[in-house]
Amino acid sequence: MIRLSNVTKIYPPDVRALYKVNLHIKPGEFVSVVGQSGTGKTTIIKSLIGEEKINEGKIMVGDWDITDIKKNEIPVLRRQIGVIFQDFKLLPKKTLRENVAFALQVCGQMPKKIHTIVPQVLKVVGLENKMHRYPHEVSGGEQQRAAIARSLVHRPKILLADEPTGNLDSINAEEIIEMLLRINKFGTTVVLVTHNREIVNRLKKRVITIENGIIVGDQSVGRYML
Amino acid sequence: MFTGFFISALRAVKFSLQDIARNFWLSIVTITILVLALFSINILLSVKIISKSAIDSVREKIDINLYLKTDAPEDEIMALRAQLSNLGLVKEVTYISKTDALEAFKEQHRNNPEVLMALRELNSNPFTPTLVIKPKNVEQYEELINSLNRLQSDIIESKNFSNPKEMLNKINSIAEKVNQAGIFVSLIFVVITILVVYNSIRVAIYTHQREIRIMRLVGASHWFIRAPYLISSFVYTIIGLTLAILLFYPFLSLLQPYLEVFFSGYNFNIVTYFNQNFNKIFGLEFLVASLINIVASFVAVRKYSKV
Repeated sequence: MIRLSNVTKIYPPDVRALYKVNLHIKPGEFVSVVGQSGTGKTTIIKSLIGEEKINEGKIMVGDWDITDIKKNEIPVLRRQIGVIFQDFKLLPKKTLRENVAFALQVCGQMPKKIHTIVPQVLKVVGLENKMHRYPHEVSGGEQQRAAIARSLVHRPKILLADEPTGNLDSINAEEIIEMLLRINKFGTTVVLVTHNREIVNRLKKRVITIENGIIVGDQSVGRYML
Repeated sequence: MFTGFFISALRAVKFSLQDIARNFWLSIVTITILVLALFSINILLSVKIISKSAIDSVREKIDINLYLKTDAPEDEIMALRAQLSNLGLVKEVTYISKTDALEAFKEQHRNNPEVLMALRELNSNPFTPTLVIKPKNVEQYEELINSLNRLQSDIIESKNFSNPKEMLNKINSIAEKVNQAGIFVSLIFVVITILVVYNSIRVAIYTHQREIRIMRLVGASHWFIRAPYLISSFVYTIIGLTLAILLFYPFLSLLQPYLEVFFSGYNFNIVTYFNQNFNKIFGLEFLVASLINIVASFVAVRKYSKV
């Protein structure tokens, strides 16, 4: 599903974020990418959604070589991948419903279909009664659930989660992780970037450890080793 | 494909109107800046029109007096008047009878008893009938004088052709300098106005930069993000121009009575001028303002959507 081959990324002037990273994630896997701050975890996510261009190597998403992806192809790539972020990144002037619908609107989906799908997705994440609220009117956990709904509404095969529990308390964090596990059970490949030791150890899933831009560990049933 | 385009266009309009409504105070500020800018431009335009009219009115005052004999018969005077009116270089010929001239003199000096007393002591009307000739074009003054010099008539007493060439040159020189200064000031003013409007739109979009980046991360294309802001710019322009016109016309109506006093004797109405040139003036303002707003939106959105 996702293959990084000898990927190197250097931020000017000479900050090495990733160095000769080789990584293969199969379809349907749940992978945690762990490491301390500044080790290159988020750079992997950014490279996968075309936000950062790598200096060396190759990145494949499915059958698509996105190494030298053109600017006008980036929106197309992002519509095929679901992404959730630490700071939720919801549009503040749109309701939760409108935020989720937006992901379908950018794909050119018909209004009637959006009208049907969006409430269903919001129900799955438990926000059917709050769909007309604005992000600032709901809690952090609810915002993240709305973000998950937005990332899933167009049924992507891959879901990237960049520190999704970073701004949440432990109860909400637990809920989000449970949701990600459920999503993975339905066949979506999930890549979870985190530095939360407890979450990683509880998951008992594949753990890839990064240190100074280099993969130092890759365990199929891993623990947080740093 | 057409359906898809139509739906995208409708979405862009919907997002635009939603954005304007949900960012109410930002929209108010942006529209206010536009209104002030357009109002200022119209004030500047009015000043230009008024100064041009003032100079034209001075030019019109230059006329030629043809003094007639005291006992000239009325019918011969009228015939001479008609003859002069038919000259191609003549705009208008006004006949001032000796009675009218006397009354005008008395009115002019009504607060000067000594002059009036001197007039009474004369016991007769010292004024002669006069034909006041206005040239069509002040530039052809000399040509007209030459035509009048060739004129033969028994009832002409004297021809006052003191050539105001020097005065005309001075007026033209002043007019030229006023025009150049006007252009220079107008240019500076217009550039400042453009920059103010341009940057107010950019600031408005700057406040949306986080949203623009989020939209890009979710997979929105450049045009999907850009279109609502372009439409918003267009809406701001329409509202701003409408409000500017609604404010400006009452201002003109208040100004007009003072202009009538200033231009007494000269037919000038600034409200009529703006009415007659409504489409040209406000149409051009609409086009220019729209262009500035659209360019500003385009540049700002492009800058903040590089994710």
